[in-house]
Amino acid sequence: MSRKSKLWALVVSAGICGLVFVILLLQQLAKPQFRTRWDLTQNRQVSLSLRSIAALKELPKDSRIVAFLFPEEERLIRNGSAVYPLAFQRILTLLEDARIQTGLPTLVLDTNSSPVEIETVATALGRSPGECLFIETPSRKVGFRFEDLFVTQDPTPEGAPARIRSERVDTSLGNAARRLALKTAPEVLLLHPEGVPPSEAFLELLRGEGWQPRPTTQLLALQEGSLLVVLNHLQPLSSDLTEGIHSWLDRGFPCLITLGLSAPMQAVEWWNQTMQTRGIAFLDGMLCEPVKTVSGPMEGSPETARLEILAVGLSGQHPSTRNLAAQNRSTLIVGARPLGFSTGSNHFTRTPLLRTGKAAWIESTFHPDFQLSNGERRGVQNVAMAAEAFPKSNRATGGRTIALGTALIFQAEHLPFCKDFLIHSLRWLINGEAKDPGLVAVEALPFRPTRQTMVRMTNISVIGLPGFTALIALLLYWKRRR
Amino acid sequence: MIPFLALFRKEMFSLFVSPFVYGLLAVWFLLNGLFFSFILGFPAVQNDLNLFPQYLFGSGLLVWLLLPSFPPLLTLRLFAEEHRLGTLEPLLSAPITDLAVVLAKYFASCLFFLVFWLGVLGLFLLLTLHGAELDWSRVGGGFMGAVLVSFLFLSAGLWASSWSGNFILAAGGGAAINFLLLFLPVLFENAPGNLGQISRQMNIPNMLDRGFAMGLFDSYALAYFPLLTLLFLWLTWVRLVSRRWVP
Repeated sequence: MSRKSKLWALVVSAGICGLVFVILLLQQLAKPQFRTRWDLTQNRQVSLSLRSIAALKELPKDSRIVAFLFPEEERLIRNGSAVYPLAFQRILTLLEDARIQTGLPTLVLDTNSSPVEIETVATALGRSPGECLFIETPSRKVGFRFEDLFVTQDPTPEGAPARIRSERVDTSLGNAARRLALKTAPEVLLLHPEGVPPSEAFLELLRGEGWQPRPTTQLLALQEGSLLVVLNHLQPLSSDLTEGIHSWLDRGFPCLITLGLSAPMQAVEWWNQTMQTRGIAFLDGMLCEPVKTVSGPMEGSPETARLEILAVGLSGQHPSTRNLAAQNRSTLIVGARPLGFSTGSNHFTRTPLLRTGKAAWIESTFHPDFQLSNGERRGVQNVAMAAEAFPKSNRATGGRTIALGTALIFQAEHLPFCKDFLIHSLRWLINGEAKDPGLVAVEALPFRPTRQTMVRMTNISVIGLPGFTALIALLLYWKRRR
Repeated sequence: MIPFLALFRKEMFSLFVSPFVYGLLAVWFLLNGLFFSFILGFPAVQNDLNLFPQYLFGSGLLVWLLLPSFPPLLTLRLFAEEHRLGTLEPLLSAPITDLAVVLAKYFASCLFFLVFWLGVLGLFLLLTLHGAELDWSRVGGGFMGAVLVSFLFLSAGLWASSWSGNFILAAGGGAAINFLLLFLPVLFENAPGNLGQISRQMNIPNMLDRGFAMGLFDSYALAYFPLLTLLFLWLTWVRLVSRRWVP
């Protein structure tokens, strides 16, 4: 072996040994117990809170976080908006923090990921468009839509882009992890007295929130749970069931009651009596609204029973609809009966959650002609209402109740169009995140230079500085040549 | 210490009066100026300057193209020229330790590379002078990360320069190592098992993009760059002293 070869062999061996040593050392340093992070930004914007870290550490083994980072809403991209880059930057940094601090595996899928992998993971998680973050445990999962995590301001027709007003990724991750870490998930009782089970799509929606849906046809007098959802009923209730419902409501447990057009008169009367203290009443008739067509509003068709509740029709004050109203999201409700105020007790506050437009009317269900007829009047009508004990009692969640005049929203074909409203309502009922939004304001640093400023800065950076340095190089070269 | 300072001064002087180095600096400023103007033209960046450090230091061409290529061009002469001119033997037999020789040359190149970065910092000051409001924790973090990466790449370039008297090998070898350091972890970060895990931990653009450029300092990243830098400096030292070990 020549001297040169020996020298090379020595250097290469030393290099390999050194590299292995450094990698082993780095492996140790990468462990969470040796890791420290210093967040120099204001309000620790790029770190998880200690609460969230503790909650994520509690997650069962084989849990993971999956992020789908795709710009999906056109309005948030328009006019060169920075919403998605900033939001994804925030999510990525917090996921990195979660991975480092808790050792939780994270999977980030973005536009550079393999389409096959994206499809596989999305199908396995049951992802629907708009959902961007999932925490998954071996048995349960929680998904977040983009608007659950970020409150944005819409672009204006004048050309101003959308921007992030506030966000709550950290709080949401922490809350979801705490829910998932619970050995028993919040149980949602789905009462369907006629034995018609709820749709699989609705069950999946509940599971996606980390809740445990339990369809049932019975409700015992002292039965407990986190939430009761009454999925319509077509016959008068049995005495056991009425006792169970009375007991549930008297104890102040939360309840979502849906009573559609097909509910018999006796059932409606029974519910109105039961809900009297809460001051909400189901009214007779079917809500209709003119259909918007190219040639103007149209009546006389069953399509008028499809109500598009625009953002202005959502309560901007109530926690369950506040975010949706701010996000300018509309909801589609089909075949609904109206709701009204009744003489309730002063212990409950009542809020209309969904309201129709001014052109709506109540159509008689006996001989519906789907147009304004004799005795029918146009006006704003309530489609959904909420009640809550006031002042707040020491009962479970203060008797939170939401009444909705249709049960069709639970069906798979209608669910996608009112999913946002439904999920936000259920979260409020179950005392979830809507109560503690944990929003953190996000400040943008806009800089819109004039054309003149841009030209000046480009001249300095592209011509001035390099030109000056090149001049020094030439001078030195010239001096050396001399 | 005195021989070290003397050599350090000599190296600094030779760098500061080299037309080649200033030419290199001019090209660096020109390309950075172009990137700077280009990124500033992004509507998303104009809508929120918080994205600027991330785009420039984190995921921009500065990191993927300029950072791995320029440090070896600066260090290529440090040992290769000594080899070529035959002055390495007298230098190593002079009353100065081999380690001091390595460190003097390395620190001189590091200090000069700060001039490269000062120019880029000047661009941010230019932006401020034109009324832009910047989050200096992000800008400072981005600079800190970029400086650490460039110091690492300088050490790799120094090692490559110590291989022989061939300038092309010194520059090409150094650049190749730097590109490998940058690309290999990215290529294998999704690999299963330990390979994927190690690759994710050694992903330099991620450390910049999701760390320094966000105003976030991680003890791991702060240890990663100096450790690898030390490795290359040690290898350079081994390369020099091995000439004595092998008869």
